[in-house]
Amino acid sequence: MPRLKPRIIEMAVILLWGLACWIFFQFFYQYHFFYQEQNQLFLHTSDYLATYFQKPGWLACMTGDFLTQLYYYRFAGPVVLTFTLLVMGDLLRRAFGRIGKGAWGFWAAIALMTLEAIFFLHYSHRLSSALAVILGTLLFLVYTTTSRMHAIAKVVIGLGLGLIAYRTAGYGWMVYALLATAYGLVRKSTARWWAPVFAALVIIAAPTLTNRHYLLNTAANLTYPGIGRPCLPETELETTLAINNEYYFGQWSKVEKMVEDEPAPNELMLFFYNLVKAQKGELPDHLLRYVPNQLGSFYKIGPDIPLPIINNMNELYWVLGDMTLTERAAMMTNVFAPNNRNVRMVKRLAECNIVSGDTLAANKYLRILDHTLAYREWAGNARKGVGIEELNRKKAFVNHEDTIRVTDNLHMVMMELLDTNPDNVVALDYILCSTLLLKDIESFKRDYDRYCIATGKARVKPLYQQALMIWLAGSNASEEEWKKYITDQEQLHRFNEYSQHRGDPRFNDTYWYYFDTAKAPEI
Amino acid sequence: MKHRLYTHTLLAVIATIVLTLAACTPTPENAQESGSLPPVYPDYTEVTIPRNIAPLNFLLRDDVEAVETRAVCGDEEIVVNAKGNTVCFDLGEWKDLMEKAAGHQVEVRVTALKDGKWTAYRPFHWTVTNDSIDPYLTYRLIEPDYEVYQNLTLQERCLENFDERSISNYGLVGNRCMNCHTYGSQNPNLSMLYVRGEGGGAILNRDGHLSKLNIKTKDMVSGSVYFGFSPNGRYIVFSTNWIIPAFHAKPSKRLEVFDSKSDVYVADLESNTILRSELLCDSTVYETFPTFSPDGKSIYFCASPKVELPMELKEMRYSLCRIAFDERTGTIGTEVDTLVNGPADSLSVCHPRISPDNRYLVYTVADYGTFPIWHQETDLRIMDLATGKVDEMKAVNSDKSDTYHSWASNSRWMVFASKRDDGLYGKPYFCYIDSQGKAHKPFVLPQENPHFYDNNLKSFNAPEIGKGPLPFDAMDVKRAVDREPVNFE
Repeated sequence: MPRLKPRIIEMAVILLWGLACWIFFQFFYQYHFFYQEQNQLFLHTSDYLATYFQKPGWLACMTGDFLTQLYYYRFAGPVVLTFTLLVMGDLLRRAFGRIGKGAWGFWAAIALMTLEAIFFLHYSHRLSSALAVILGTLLFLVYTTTSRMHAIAKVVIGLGLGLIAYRTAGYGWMVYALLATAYGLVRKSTARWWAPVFAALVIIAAPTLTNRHYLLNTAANLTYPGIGRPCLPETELETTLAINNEYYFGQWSKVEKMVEDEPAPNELMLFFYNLVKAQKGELPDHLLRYVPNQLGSFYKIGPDIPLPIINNMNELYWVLGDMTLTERAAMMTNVFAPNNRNVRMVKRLAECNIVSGDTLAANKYLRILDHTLAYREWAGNARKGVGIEELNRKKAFVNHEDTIRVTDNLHMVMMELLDTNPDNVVALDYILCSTLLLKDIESFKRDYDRYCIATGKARVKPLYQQALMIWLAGSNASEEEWKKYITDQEQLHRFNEYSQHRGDPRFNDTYWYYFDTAKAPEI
Repeated sequence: MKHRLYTHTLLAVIATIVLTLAACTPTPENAQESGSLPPVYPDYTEVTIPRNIAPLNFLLRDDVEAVETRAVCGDEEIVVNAKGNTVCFDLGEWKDLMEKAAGHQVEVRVTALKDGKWTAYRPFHWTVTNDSIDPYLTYRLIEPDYEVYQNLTLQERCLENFDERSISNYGLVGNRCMNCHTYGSQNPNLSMLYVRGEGGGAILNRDGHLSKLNIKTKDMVSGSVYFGFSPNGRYIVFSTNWIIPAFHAKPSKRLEVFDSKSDVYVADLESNTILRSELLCDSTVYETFPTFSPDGKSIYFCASPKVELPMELKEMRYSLCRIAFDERTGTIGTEVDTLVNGPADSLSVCHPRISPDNRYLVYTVADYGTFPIWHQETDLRIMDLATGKVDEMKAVNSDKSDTYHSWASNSRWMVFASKRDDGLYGKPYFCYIDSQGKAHKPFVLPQENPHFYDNNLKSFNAPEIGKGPLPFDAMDVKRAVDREPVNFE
């Protein structure tokens, strides 16, 4: 059997590596890319691009962020990342080939590509970081073309390229200096002394010379935009992001399926599940499916709340129809996003101001979106009133009465929304379900009377019937009252049966069982 | 010979490129006269500007293909021909024009190309004053919220050009809250800013030497919030405020912030002691927004009778008050004068600031409360301290929040934060107060790229005018924060 040529083996390894990388990120990690994409706001304007010059590694960061905006499109993220890593590997292979002979360079490049790919398992690792390595390596390859030049020219060019690496590639200067040092040592060229000297100069000079200019501390200055760290696959976060993003894309059935397929969905997953169910009018039918459950209505936004929760709160307020709190949560998501920029939140700010009729504020955000790649079409259409039917529908939900809320107590907020618009079924179900989760039967009954009985719009759901029976039984209500509230005879029959067997798991789908056995959330 | 050939070829290529580019910028032909003003942004039409201001670059809010702008004063003229909708002046040419135009008007003629047709808009004017403005401005850049922050920075901007730098930055002091930078009598060698959080404090700048002060004592409800220097720089008067955030249900009103407790104190920066007066720390009154008069003889502040909060928030109305102060002995007076009665006039007074010549007092009025930046009805008013006459500054105010003003040292210029563009993001506007006390139409801080404000997502917070560049930078502030504080008793 003839032996395969090393070149063919290498090509096959690269092909397989690239395929494996793409398959992994495409089919098992694609939602991490949406997180990266939304947490920036890349504008195609000269003044925005100029801001990249304020930090080290402007070229790596600008190119990385430019490519990251493409992650908006499904399939783009894994393709961009795989291609970037392959380019990085190829350049490293070439660089190692200039340093010494043998196959070690190929395998070392594969190892470094793999390490960089592992860094990308962390949700916050930026594409710019891989590009920093690429630029540093590229500049080293440029340096190696000086081999026939005079020694002084080599030193001058070497140092010059090093400074270019620091300025354009951020921590790519380290890659450049390491490669040049190795090259100098192996080839016994001038780089064996000037490259370490260059590295030492950067380390010594950066704190005194460039920290002041870049407004960074020394560690951040020398490693900008971030070297990365090994990380295990964030599988739970990937599922959470998947649910979050499929919700954003309007794929409600996917959200439901993903959550239902999870053996133990976390509270962020449940939050979106409930949002979907509420908008389908099914929240009371599924509230007790997961115990403990998470509606999001007990969160208080503040500096200590993690970003995903603030982000979720914005979705909840939006669905409920409270534009004051939607705007605030969107602002706060922006505040806590890297560089205080989140493109989805800018879109949301435009949306909520369109709903509340604040044209000046809406135009502010639409103008910004005009300068993005993926959102400019939406902005143009929104300005013409195209594709914003949902926004127009929400206008009926906006509060007309002004009250002052000292806290973001969502119960009060939902009451105000229901007072403005009693047909706001989502707010109705959230207010009733929230009190039921807390086992606050008195408040439930008060709200039910106010928004279902007084308005003549009784909401007959097994969950509510069961809760009303607890109140009726507890208050020794008259038969007339029982008749007034309880119309579902099957539930009445089950209630009588449950009363004989309190706490029996056969009734674990009922509110009575929850009331007797579950622990109410602490608020 | 060969070298010379290369050089000539290179020059020819460059010349061709330059000529081609120049030829590509269209110039007006057969322009149709229009009776309307050009849709310029920022609104720089009919504004009054100081002779030393940076170029008022602007854009046309229209989808135009090219624009020609002629700024004319006598025989001095600047012509800007540009493709697109952006008009940017050359700094050198602008300076020459401003020197010639000082005390006169500049006529600005804009002609724009749209759909292949040129339109000559009605000219507008810039009134250029002989009175210069102090050339530096400091401000905080922050998202328009109030209780959360991330990546804060305090900036200093030269008003005569577009140079800007950070004087305190999150990248160096950690992600801390930072509050307003305030000068003493517009003097860059006397100023203070706050870096909050553990290990933070008031960073006092005296001739570039920075020290960290811990002004808070046990009896105070909070650290110092609003403050001002006495003329000799020995004292600061400051308020301590227990601040409560709240929200309006109606989206157009957005946020509300009020004090549930507040008092006013004086700190002696030489003896590191606090001067107290029961008249400024009355438990039945909320006292806030203190400032010294420029002669050092009075402390002006705002005060509201205590109300039940938040139920009676809309009844929380602050009056403009004054109490005597002796700068020589450090003695606070024994009587409070009320200059504007908030509850009686159904308005709430905030942020009194007195012109350095002690002639005019500008303050903010809102319907109620103590946080005018989120009250769209907030306007500035000017009081002639010699006559007590109050003017509503109609040429200056907008239908959005106009507040947080600060004077220039010549008492002719004032800066304030206005949300007139979008109701959300505060921007620094400058207005001229002439010798008769008349306020002129203000203009927003010019930017090198006139699209800047469109793309910016930060509010310009608490702008302050200074006579010169500050003698420290963000790295110096970082070092000061790392020092041990000077404690007050």
